[in-house]
Amino acid sequence: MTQLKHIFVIFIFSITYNAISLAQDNPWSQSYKLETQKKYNDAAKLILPFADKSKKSEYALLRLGWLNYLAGNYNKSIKWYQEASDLNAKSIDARLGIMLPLMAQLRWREAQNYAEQVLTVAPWQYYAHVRLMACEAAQQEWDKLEKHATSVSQHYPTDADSLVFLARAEAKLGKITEAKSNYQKVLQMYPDHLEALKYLVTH
Amino acid sequence: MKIKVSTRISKFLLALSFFTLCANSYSEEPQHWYTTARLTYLSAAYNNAQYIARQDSGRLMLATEYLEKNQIQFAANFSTFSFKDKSPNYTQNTFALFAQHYFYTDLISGRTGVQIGYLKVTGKNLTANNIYNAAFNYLNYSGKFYFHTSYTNSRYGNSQSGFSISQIKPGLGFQLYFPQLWANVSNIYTAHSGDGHYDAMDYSLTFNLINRPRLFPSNLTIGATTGKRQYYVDEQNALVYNTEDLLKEEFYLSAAWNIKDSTYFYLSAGQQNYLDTSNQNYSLNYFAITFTRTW
Repeated sequence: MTQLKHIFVIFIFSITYNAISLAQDNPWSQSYKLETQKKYNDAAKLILPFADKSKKSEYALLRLGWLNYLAGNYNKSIKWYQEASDLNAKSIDARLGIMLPLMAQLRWREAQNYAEQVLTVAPWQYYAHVRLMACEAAQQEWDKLEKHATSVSQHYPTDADSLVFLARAEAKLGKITEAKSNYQKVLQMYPDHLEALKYLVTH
Repeated sequence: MKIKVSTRISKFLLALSFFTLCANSYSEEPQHWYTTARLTYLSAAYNNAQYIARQDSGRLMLATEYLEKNQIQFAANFSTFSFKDKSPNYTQNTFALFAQHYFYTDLISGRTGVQIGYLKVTGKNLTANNIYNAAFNYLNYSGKFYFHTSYTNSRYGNSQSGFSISQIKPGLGFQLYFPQLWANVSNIYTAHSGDGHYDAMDYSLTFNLINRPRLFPSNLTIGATTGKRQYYVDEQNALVYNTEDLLKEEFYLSAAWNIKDSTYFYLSAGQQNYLDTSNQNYSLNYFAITFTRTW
């Protein structure tokens, strides 16, 4: 009986060991590890074979878009997200992804276009709204941003981002009372929020 | 008869609903083209100038941009100069066409604009002139640094080349932001072929007027630019200067009304002090109204 127990323990140990070593050898697992170490280019290199034309993996294309965005290779990132979008025309992920490098390149209008494409199929997609609000703020479209952020914060009442955008638009439009009230709401969610604290101290 | 009328009505309604559907689908299409129009009127009086008494100008600029990639800009400037000795007015009309393409690069991490332009100068009492312009500009992604260089050549062989570096946001030094005040001290350095260079300083204070009555401007700027400058072509306003006079300094006051998103109204007034080729000082007091709108 004791011998049987030993054999069982060895068996379990060998399975676990093999599973761990397999996971460690797995390029995906290594790529995630490198990402946490901020070695984005190295993390992307491991995924490249999966984006090969013969076995194009949609997930690999999206991941390459993401890693290149993090590495600051914005044109490459756009290219990979574009390929993912070409592979799957219904992909919301690809459209949301491509907005990131475009925004980093200050191409607010083009990014706005992708957000609007997402919102036609998914009208209350959270990330599309947040990124669209960032584009509106960058282009100083304060009237538009005020209306937009009001509507987003009604749909997502616990969301601090839309409240910050709303308060910022109100502040820019000279609506101090409303801006203060919304910055105070932001502080209830994030008591150390710098922008809110700074505004409330100075107004 | 009744049937015919109702058929016509239903056809009309069908057509109407089709057009409404088209209009709806169009409104859902993302916008790719953006057009900006700017209209300016400027009136100026000369003090102590040898010949010219006053100047009136009307300027129109139309720029169409395809997303943030290609831009075509048309500008026209109509100026009339009147003289002290009551001799006939002198007119100068400038028509300019610029085409610009933006490249986005990861290597030098920024947006590079390449521009080519053509300016045609016509006018009574002025020989027509053709001017060719090429410019290159660079804006880094953090939006803190802008570099611009250009080369302009006219039919008569007088050419101008120059460059400027400007800071847009603080980070390199000179600008200070307070909640309602923006203080700016920046250097404008331009090198000219054949005419040395100018090295000017721009000092300005901008007040953001928040919680103001509706008729008050959104911001007020008071500023001064010092340092000798000489212009041949002002690309921004499609202006051609047929003078070798030096602009020594400028004092200005401007007010901006942000009427609504993408719609602005500006009033500005200022004084420019010049030194002409016979070393005589003269000044120009100007007043300008500008309206801009982006669709």
